[in-house]
Amino acid sequence: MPDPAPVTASTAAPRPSAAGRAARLATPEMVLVALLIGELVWFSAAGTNFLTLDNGLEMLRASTEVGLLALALTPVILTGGIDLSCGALLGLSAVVFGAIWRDAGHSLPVAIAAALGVGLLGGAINAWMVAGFGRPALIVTLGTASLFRGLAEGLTGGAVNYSGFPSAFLHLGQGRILGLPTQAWVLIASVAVMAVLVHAATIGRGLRAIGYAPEGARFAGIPVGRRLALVYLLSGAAAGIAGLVYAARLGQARADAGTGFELSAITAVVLGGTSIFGGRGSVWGTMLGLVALGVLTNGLRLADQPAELAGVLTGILLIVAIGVGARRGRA
Amino acid sequence: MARLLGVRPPVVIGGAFVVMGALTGLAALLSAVQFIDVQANAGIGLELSVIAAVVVGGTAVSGGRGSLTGTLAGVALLATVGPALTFLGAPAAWERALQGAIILIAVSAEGFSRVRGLEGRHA
Repeated sequence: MPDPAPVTASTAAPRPSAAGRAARLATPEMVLVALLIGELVWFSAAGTNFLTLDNGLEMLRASTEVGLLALALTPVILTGGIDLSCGALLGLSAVVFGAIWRDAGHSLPVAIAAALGVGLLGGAINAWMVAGFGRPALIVTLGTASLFRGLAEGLTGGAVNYSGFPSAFLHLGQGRILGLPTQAWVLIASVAVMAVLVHAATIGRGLRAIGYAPEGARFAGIPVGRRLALVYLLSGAAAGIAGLVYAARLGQARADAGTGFELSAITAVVLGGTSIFGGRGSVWGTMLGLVALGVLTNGLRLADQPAELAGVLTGILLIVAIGVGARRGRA
Repeated sequence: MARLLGVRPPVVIGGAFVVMGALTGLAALLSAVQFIDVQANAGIGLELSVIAAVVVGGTAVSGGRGSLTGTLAGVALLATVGPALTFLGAPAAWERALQGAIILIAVSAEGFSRVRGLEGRHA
């Protein structure tokens, strides 16, 4: 359990001592930066073509979908909730895009709007069950994850693979704008929106308060239900966008699109120092966690290491990150 | 609170995880003898189905309430969805969607049966 420290009291807290400041420097973010530097040194020595601009951009391209999910998950986890359904919703929105465009023969904008609409609708179901109905987020999103993935499988009969998308759409996943991969701009815009929401707007402070103590937040006059509904809606919207990016990057949409992406996204968020119990976390941390994960996967591949090693190392990292977080929480 | 009643939480919680691991080993054995080859990615996603079965069986996610017979019923319910679809002539591809719907209904039903005063906690 996190300290139920009132959020408003932090302004009146005494200035931290020198030791306190040193302890504050050992934040998960700083640990991650150190880790990232270690990764860069190791992979530059071990891999070929690792430290090149092109490889960096490809890493960015490959990380965008998980990045979008992780960004939207940060405020969700900040409130002490979770969204396990975002990976499945990504798959459903990608499949719906393919079905509307190819099977129903609609134009590209209609298909894109439908995919985004599916994302919002999925988010709305989660929001309704969690915020409106007060059901536990873990089980609700577990159920909707099964439902969304199942709908995608049902729509495609488990076999159909939508492909042959027009080049205007594929540009979103394979092209470049001003030197950066097209989808990187989507990610950058999302980072800006989330950073404002979580760190600059009063809403962000409300989300932290909910994560520390939902009852206390309610008594403090925060519209808990509406805030919770907002974060789950945003998560759904992000899944819709990520589904489009996924379909455009790979040029195909199948029912199994984005399998396990929700776990990668949660890993990035928790690695970035966001407490899984809620109340504490940052968008920057999530981005650092995402980069650390992306560099690890990419670097191991270029260093000719087996892909399974990435999974093992990610697990170790996660346990270490939770250990660091627990020590900080007690201090 | 349980500590005051003479329960030793570390022993009980630790024991629960040990039993979980032991039964997982047994399940792995049953899975290994069932198929010709053994794969490293066997059982991926199975934990979600397992949690679903437990919750459908009436165990409260927040802890404190639940039964083995309920879990057994949950397993039976979720496991019969696939064969039932085949029996009814519906495409088997909808199995997972139906399981998801069952989980959501079970979670909603739990909300109705709980005391109103205990609600409002989402985590």
